[in-house]
Amino acid sequence: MRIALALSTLAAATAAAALGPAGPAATAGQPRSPAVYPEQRIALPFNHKAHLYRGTVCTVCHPGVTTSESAQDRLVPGEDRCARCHQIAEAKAGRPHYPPGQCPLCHVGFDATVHRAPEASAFPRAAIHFSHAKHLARLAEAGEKDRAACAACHGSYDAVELATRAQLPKMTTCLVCHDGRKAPADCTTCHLRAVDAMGSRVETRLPGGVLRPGPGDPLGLDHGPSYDRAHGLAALGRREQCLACHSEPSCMSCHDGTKKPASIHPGDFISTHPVPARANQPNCAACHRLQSFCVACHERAGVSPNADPSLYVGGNKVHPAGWMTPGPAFHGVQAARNIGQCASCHQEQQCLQCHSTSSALYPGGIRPHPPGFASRCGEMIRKNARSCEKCHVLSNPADSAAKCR
Amino acid sequence: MPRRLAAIALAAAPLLARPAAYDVDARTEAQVYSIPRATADAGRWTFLPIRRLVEVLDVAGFEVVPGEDSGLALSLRLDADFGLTAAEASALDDGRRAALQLLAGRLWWKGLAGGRVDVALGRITAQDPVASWAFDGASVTVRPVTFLALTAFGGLRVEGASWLASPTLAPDGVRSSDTRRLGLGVPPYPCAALPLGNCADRADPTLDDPAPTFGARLALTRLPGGLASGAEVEYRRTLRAGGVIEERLGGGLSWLVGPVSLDGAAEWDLYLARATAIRGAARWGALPWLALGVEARYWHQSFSADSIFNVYDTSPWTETRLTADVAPAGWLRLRASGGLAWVRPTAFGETFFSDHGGTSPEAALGATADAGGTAFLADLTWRGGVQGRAGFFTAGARRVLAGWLALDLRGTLSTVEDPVIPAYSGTFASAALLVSGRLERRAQLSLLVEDSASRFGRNDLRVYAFLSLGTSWDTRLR
Repeated sequence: MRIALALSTLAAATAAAALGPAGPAATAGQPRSPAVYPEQRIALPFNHKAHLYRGTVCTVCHPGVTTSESAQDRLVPGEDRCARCHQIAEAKAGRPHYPPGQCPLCHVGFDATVHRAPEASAFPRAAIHFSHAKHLARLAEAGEKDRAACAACHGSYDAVELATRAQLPKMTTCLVCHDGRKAPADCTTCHLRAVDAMGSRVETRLPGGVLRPGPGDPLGLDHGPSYDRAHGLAALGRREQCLACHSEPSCMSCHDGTKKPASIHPGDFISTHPVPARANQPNCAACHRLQSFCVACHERAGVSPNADPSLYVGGNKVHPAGWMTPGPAFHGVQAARNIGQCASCHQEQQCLQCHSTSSALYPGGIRPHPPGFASRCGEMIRKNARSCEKCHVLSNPADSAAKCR
Repeated sequence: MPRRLAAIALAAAPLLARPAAYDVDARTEAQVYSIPRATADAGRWTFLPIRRLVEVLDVAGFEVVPGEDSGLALSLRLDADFGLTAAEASALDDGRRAALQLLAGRLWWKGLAGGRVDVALGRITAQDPVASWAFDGASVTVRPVTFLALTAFGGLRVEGASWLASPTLAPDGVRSSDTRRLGLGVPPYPCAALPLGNCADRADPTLDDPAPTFGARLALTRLPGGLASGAEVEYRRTLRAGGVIEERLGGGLSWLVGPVSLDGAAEWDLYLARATAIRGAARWGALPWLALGVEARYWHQSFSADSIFNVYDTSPWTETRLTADVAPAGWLRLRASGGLAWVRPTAFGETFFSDHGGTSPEAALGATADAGGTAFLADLTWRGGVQGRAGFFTAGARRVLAGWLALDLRGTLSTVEDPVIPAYSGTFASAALLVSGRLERRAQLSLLVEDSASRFGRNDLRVYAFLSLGTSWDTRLR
């Protein structure tokens, strides 16, 4: 019973996590992209929880948010803002004061007797388009004001001491409203455009790093460690999303067969590729054409009988014993399993030596067609007779293909 | 010479068009290595030199028409292998020592007619629901309503024999061109009559002919369920010398609801009257640190309708795979996958060769970690079954020094048991060191040195050098 209860609770929690709202609480603890929010250096021990405990609203310290139209605006308060409450001047003068205003209170370890500047903090600007003013106005229209409005994107600060990049919203939170209906969902609504100001491609080479979908990506496009090998189906089905970041030539720069991508092929893949190629893992045809790329290389390497005899030295027997003799090792069995593996070394003329009605080795030729082929061959001849004419003499009434006419 | 002039004209086109903004990328890759080659002495191998130089120039211009989303994209590549001798090249059907290739070259104008019409013209790389392909021509997309896009396209299919073409995206199964064979006196198809054997060695004079292609696509975007949801169906037909060389009908569906994403695609070959590919994948971001996935694929290889490989009695493969991506901490990612592929025997194989088909299990484990400023990776992949056995273990580490210099060390240990080409069975080890210096934000110089030890030779040193330069500027900002 307990197990059932635990399982049902787990299932309910998982379902809630899976289908529930994706507000800032849902992304708490998840890493932030350094490309969007560059790493900060915070040398201040600020405690939001303690300050908010007194009922302070956010704009007391961050007044710029109400008018800020850009993510490039500095909204982290400076010392002048702290000095509105903390009596820094009184402290420096050695006079009694409250709230406290001694330098080490914020600049930890600072010693006024040592003539060295306190450690500096750095808050690099976010690499996005964002207007606090517009968002606060829309939230106000929806009845969200003051701390509740801030919490809509930044989450609750009731338990936060030092605010870091972890309090900056992830895309999952943005998409709660930016769904294409309530608010625009075009990528460049928030992300910086690439050089083509009229286009819609996102700039991915940012000062903080390369913009790349990570774990928990709300569009299901996490470019994880295996993504180079596993992106095929998503790339074909969701190419508009791919083109939001990648230019069309960038696909071909990898897929056109001249590179040796280490993320796709392990070391010394030239020696070890036959078995993965036979299993079509990874998909060879995504980058290589069997009858040009593969055959040309195999001819040079002497593992193909196609080429000029001066290239095909052929002392090493490529295939095992029994390859041309009916039996379990017969080549027809392997050819039926993946004829592409044959086409990566052989050209049609080798097959035609036996599989042709004019075969000199097997008069009448060995028929290679599947069952039921006779019912389809007429239509195939009507559309293109050339492949048939490589084996058959269609004008010869005695030829088996004449029945297809 | 005409090719060089064409290349210069193409490279100059963006300047002549005077767009408002440019983006330029130039990449150079030099590869020096060898490939093992069989000799007349069984068991002894020699090495063939590869001395490859690849130069890629990508130029994009934006706002060719002021204030409009109009532009041009050009990708030009020089691919040369100086290790291939002229004598060797002349004996190979696709043995070009150097080739200038136009990978992309298109003009576009989006948002015409009040944002409802997009037009593209030139060498266009397209993706259908199953694969990429390319054509020289035009594409027009009309959006009568925001969620519906109708596209019509037409032109000449890019094939190996096309002008400045790379054969990579051409229909497979036949040679790129038979010019070489015809020049050697090989008689052309069709084989007219007896004597016996007259069909075996022939050449196809139509391979160099232009291949008109046309088709249409209907796409629905932003289906109920979210931003990333859409569906499409596409028809395409390509002809050459009066015959259909491909006729496909494909469809795809992507659906995202909450943390669940579904992607599916299918393609039907109308020439062969059979399904050539059916793929589906579901990914569930169960928790922010955990994603589970399932994939399934059915594939039955098809080629250009000119190819005899199409008409052989072959079996389709079906495969499924489960994956788990785990990110237990910001610095650690783990991946595990396991799958099974299977093939049924053909009726002929089962009857005459006692072939009962077979299965191919696979498993993979991977991890990446970032500790103390050094990134580590490990990957173990194993595959077995009827197609042979292969295991790969790769481990590596990468560290960035002084913010601009990166060192990447990687080692691979492989074991292969190949029933089809026993000569390639064995144990293989390799180690690689990549030194990469970022000279400027978009300028990078890298050197990769890899050494391998295998049954083919104790030392097989490979050296790759890369130089990447990029810049962009916007005349409107001056």
